[in-house]
Amino acid sequence: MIKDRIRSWAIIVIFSLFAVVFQATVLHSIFQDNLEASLIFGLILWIGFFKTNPDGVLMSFLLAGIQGVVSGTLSGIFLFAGMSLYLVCWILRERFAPRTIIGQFGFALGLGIFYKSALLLALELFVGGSFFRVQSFGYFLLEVLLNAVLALLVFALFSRLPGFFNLIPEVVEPRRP
Amino acid sequence: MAIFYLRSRRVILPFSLWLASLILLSVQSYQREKIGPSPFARAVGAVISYPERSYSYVKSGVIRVWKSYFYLAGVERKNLLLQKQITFLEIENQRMQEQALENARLKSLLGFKDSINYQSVPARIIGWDLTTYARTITINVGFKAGVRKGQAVISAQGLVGQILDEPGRLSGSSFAQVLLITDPTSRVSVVIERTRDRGVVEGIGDENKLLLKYLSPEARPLPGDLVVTSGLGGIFPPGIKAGVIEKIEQNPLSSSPQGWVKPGADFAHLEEILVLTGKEE
Repeated sequence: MIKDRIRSWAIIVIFSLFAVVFQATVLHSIFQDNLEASLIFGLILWIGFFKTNPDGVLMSFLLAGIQGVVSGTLSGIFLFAGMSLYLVCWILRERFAPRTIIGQFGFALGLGIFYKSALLLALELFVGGSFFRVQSFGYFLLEVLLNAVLALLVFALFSRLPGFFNLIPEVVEPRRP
Repeated sequence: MAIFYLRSRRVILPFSLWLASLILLSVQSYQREKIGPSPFARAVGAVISYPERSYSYVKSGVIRVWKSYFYLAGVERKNLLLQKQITFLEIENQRMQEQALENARLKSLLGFKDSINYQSVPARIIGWDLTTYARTITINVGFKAGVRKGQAVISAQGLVGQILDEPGRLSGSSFAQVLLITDPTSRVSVVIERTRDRGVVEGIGDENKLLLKYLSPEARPLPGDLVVTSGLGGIFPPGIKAGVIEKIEQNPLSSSPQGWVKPGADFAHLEEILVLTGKEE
């Protein structure tokens, strides 16, 4: 059990550093400034739905923090958006733990829109500027779709890692005996 | 009681961390200029700058090989007899051409460097920002090379941006983050070269467009007018080309004109840049 926890934390740290580098180099070369492909979004979603606390919430905080500190805008923006995403997943998961691929994709789409909106709102409120016109609505939707597909890949990867798929205690726990 | 404690702890922690992120964001927003990046942020920045640097070198190496060898593979098939000779000659030729182009680029950069009385450090781009809402780049020089927050960054074609060191946009001993003038939070004080009218160019997140604002109502700018830095604010030296006016229109909120400016620097193909580290003695 302890070994699984240590391994989970090590994987999270390594994955988040890898994801940040991959996003800032390879994915940026492919999508330029038009789309923001995010692997960390998928992982926060996964943790929000399937990881028990306190590890889950602390991991999300770390992931969103690492993404924030090298994001190119105020680090708190990504931290806030990431934690808001986690919180919504965590609230929803007691009733809607998405187990099928279609369910997971649907949730990734819906929460992708929520995440982008949270980012935009935080930028407008706390940084100030005209961020709404930086990206067209078409690209906005395309980005949500892209990140939902990436989220499914992240889900597929992490559901195979020992120590990660431990939703049982919180989600499947019967509400009434 | 124990169950209640466990359940409430499970609820309190996520909400507390969410609230903590909101408080941190508020503090950063109001104290942006005063607080620097945390040691944690600097450590993360330093760690990821190494793979970014490696990627940058590998990428340029692959592109060079692609241009000089694989492209020629198609030609090779057409003429088996001269295959080896042509391939070697062409590879050599490509390599020399690449060097000649690089020389020309560096020469123009040096010529530009000589034309301004500033000490400068040449740099190379190794990474980009993580969001579509920001326009920042990471370069391969940092504090060790004399690079500091607020220094101007230019290319041979014109103004690029300024060095940052704040939460989320940090610099380190061997890397630095540059806020491009196309970033939505970037504002540069400029002057129209022909008429000497002052204004501000603002980024809108588009690498081909800047918004020229705050001109006086009497200003009469024309498409094709050159826009250069005014030197006000102390960050950018005066006279550096910011861009060329493409279109003039009436500001809907005032009686002043406003314009759309095409940046001088080619942000899509930016490779080598100069950081102005100080005025020459």
